[in-house]
Amino acid sequence: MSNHYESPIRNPLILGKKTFKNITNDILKPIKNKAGNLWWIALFISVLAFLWGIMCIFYTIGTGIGVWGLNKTINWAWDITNFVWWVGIGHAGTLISAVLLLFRQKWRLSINRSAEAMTIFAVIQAGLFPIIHMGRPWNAHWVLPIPNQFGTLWPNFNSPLLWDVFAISTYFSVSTVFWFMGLIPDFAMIRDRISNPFQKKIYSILSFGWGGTSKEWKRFEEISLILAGLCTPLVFSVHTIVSFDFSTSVIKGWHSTIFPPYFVAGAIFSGFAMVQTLLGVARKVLSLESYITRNHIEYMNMIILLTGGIVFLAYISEFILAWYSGSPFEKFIYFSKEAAKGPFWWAFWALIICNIIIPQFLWIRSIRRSFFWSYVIAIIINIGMWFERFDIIVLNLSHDYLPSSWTGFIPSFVDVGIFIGTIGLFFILYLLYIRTFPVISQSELKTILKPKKEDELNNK
Amino acid sequence: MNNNKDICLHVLYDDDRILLNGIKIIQCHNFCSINEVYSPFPIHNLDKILKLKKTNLSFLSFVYGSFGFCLASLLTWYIMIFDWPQNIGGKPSFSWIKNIPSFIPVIFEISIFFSAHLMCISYLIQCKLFPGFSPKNPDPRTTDNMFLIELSIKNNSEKLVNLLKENGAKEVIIKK
Amino acid sequence: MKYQFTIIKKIIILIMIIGVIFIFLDKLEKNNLFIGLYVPIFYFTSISLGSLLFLGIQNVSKSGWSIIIYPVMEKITSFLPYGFFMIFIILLLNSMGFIHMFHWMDYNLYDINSNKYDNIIANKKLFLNIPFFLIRSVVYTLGCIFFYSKIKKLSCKLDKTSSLSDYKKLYSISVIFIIFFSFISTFIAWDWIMSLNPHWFSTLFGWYVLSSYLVTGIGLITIISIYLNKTGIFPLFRKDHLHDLSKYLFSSSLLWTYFWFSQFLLYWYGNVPEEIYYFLKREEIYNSIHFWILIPNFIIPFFGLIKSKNKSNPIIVGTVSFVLLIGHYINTYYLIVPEIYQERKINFGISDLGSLLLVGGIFIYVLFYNLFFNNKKLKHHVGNPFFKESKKYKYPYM
Repeated sequence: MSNHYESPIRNPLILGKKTFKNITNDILKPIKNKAGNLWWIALFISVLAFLWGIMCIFYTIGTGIGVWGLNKTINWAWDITNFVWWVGIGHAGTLISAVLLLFRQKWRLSINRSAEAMTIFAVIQAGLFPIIHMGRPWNAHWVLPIPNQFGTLWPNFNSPLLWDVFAISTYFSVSTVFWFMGLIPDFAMIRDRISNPFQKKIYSILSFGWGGTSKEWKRFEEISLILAGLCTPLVFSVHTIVSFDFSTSVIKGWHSTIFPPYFVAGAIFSGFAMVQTLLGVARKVLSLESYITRNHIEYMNMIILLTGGIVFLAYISEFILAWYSGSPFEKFIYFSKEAAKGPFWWAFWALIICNIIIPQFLWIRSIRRSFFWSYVIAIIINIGMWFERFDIIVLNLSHDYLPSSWTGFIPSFVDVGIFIGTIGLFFILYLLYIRTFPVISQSELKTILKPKKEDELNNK
Repeated sequence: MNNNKDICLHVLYDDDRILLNGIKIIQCHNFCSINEVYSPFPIHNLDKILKLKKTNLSFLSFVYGSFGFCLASLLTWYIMIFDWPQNIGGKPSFSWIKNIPSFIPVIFEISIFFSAHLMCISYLIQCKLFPGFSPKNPDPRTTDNMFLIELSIKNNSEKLVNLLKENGAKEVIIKK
Repeated sequence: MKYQFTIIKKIIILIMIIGVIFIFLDKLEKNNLFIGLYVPIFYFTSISLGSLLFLGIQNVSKSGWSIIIYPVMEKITSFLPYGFFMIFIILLLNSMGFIHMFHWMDYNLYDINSNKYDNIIANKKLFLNIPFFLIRSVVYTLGCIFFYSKIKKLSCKLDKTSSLSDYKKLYSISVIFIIFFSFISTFIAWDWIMSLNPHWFSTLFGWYVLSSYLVTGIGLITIISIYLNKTGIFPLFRKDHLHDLSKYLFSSSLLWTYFWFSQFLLYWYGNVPEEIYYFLKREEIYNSIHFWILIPNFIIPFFGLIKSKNKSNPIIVGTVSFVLLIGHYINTYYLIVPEIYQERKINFGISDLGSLLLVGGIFIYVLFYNLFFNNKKLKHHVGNPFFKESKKYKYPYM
């Protein structure tokens, strides 16, 4: 790919005069060196949060899901909000590595590895919630179509919840495989560099005996392309199916055909925000400043703007067509005038401010290229997207077709605790990852180190 | 190729473009043959110069996907139509084809599942990669910044070595 | 080349005359004549819109490979003002009461004393009233024409100056166009198609129609590029470019299928009488046409283009694009026509074919006039900073 001509006005993707050797050493550094204090403190806090979450999970399972804040009207709230939020975050990684590969966006190479890791860890958190919500998680295998002792008791393939089982598990396993296939050459690089015999053993097992022969590379490139082609519709399908959980029902505010693409766009929106959040830290801590540059931040912010715009359009469609439908129940959907003044006004305005108003600042070039401000905006978007899911679920359920059963929702400490616990687990996994894995796909990054300039091509 | 008489040469380069040039020089000499090229990253055009055939992985993944499609169709038909048909939410499960919209998501996911996983397994088998295999690269530097051509040569090695060194080879190691 | 154009011109004029004859053979009343014309006019305008949208997307994404195809995209878009004008005339005739396509334009629906009074439609009066409707249509028309001419002018200027500041202007106008278009595209679909049936609505409808623009736009870009390449005036268009175009064709047809499926599944699954009757009606009139259009719009492109080798084969890609164009015509037809003819069962007749030929003839005439008249060569955008990148572009995995 190195003899591909590039216009001189394109920005360089790697700053400074790096050599192949420099890239190798920069990627090796966090694995070879000892962890700093900051890392230990972060891990300690994450473990604490995780332990708190574990306790809440045990309490829930031991007592029953009555300990959550759910009631008869709002029978889905905090847990499914977290589920959708985490699945949404888990969309950016595979999008970056699959869709951007198909679009041949070279800037993906500095961030795809970490983004994919984030995807996998986020999907793990998402998968926890339905399992906890089962109440009897030891029967979780009942969702699978396996012959059983009850005769012909099969799962219902008409149910979107079952589609979810297939979608999330396929997504998780395929993205893990996609991630791992790309990791093999980089593990081989670490294997050949590292001196500690124990680590060498581990990395040589993980590298599968990779040698970097020409045939291996050819197959590697081909398989990455095909996997990207397979993952792209998969990314779309996963959040589409998550949106089907809501939109196949005939509950007002949920039964809307725009939900599938709108959820996908929202997922990418929140996912990229999370990538920004994590990479902003990783860039500083692992000193990857020459690989994750202002340009990378700007490109990601542009995707955030694009997907945020799509989400905004979907809000407008929902708002106008809710009125257009003429149904009195549609007057109180999550995005309506009534919701703005109703009992959940705070959730509504959190959505408006975090998801619509604040991201518009990214239109300003200097903010879009500022590490600090894009970091702040990314965190705000993360919060906003959480509230969006909360609004869609809780607001719509709170005013259902039977006015006598209208009610509110207050989360219990267990609800909040499990959420904090998943954040803890997510950060534990991420912190372990950045110390043991090659955080940048160095082998592919080396291919873009020297783009051929015009005069060199003419000489040929 | 690996006759006992042959001498094995390891030619190392530190730049991919000089490497491609070196391969062309070697290919001009018909008394030696390139066994393998090791590189730290995929080199564009290398497959064309070495005349590697296009792999069948894309075809295989299509076959695997079709297999998954058929399997999922069979699964949904057997479970929902044949074994225990029910009327669920006004969607009577007495005809697979009439109920197909609600089976599409699962059929899609299973197709992708089989296609992706079986293709990766085929890839690992074709490349002979397996957890715990010993490294294939003869020199650990080839995963860092060096490019290595492994070639076997009958005689006249000195002349070629000199020629390669003139054309930018960093190091030439003769292995018996 | 001028000689060739005169032959093509004669053929096109012949096609148009045949179209007119077909229309008159069918002895239509005034109303049905315009209904028949509305479908192809909307269809060909949507091709132009799709092409302009694709051009805008390429500009905004700073894509390198596609610069050499820009002139083709611009030429296809050149029908845009005429198409919008024709649509606008039909809408104007509707609002003046000469023809009756839009059910909601009937005053009696809003009159509470009338026996035709429709509570649901009356509630929508804020949106569905003639002045506001016309204002919206004017905004779409003028907006799209403004952006089209602005983009065309700026890229012409860029060719002469090759300056980066002009390029930046082109870039920012394209960004503004994309924002503008993303808003209006939803409303265009609501106003010009969905409001034909004021009782039915779907939030996805705007994007569903939008994806159809993209598919047809890219399909025609592909066909014209292959054709110009065959005639020899477009030698820069190589297999690498074709490969990328067919990937866009492939993915946009999948996008359309995705939207189709999302909309259909949710209404089929929900089975709410107010929503599902839209599909039931079409099933009754056209024998489940919404499934059959999946064959040209999804299955043929999917299996035709899934192989990498096929993507750079001009015959296969050209055929698939043609099939897609037909498939999307059927899609447009089935979206519009069953809503207008409320009472009787209506089938695709000779006058529909005639109006397709007539409007298609105008479309092709405008296109070829712009392509061939006065300039023998395709004027490439050499001033674009990515022009060289596009010229030297090589698909890396071929």
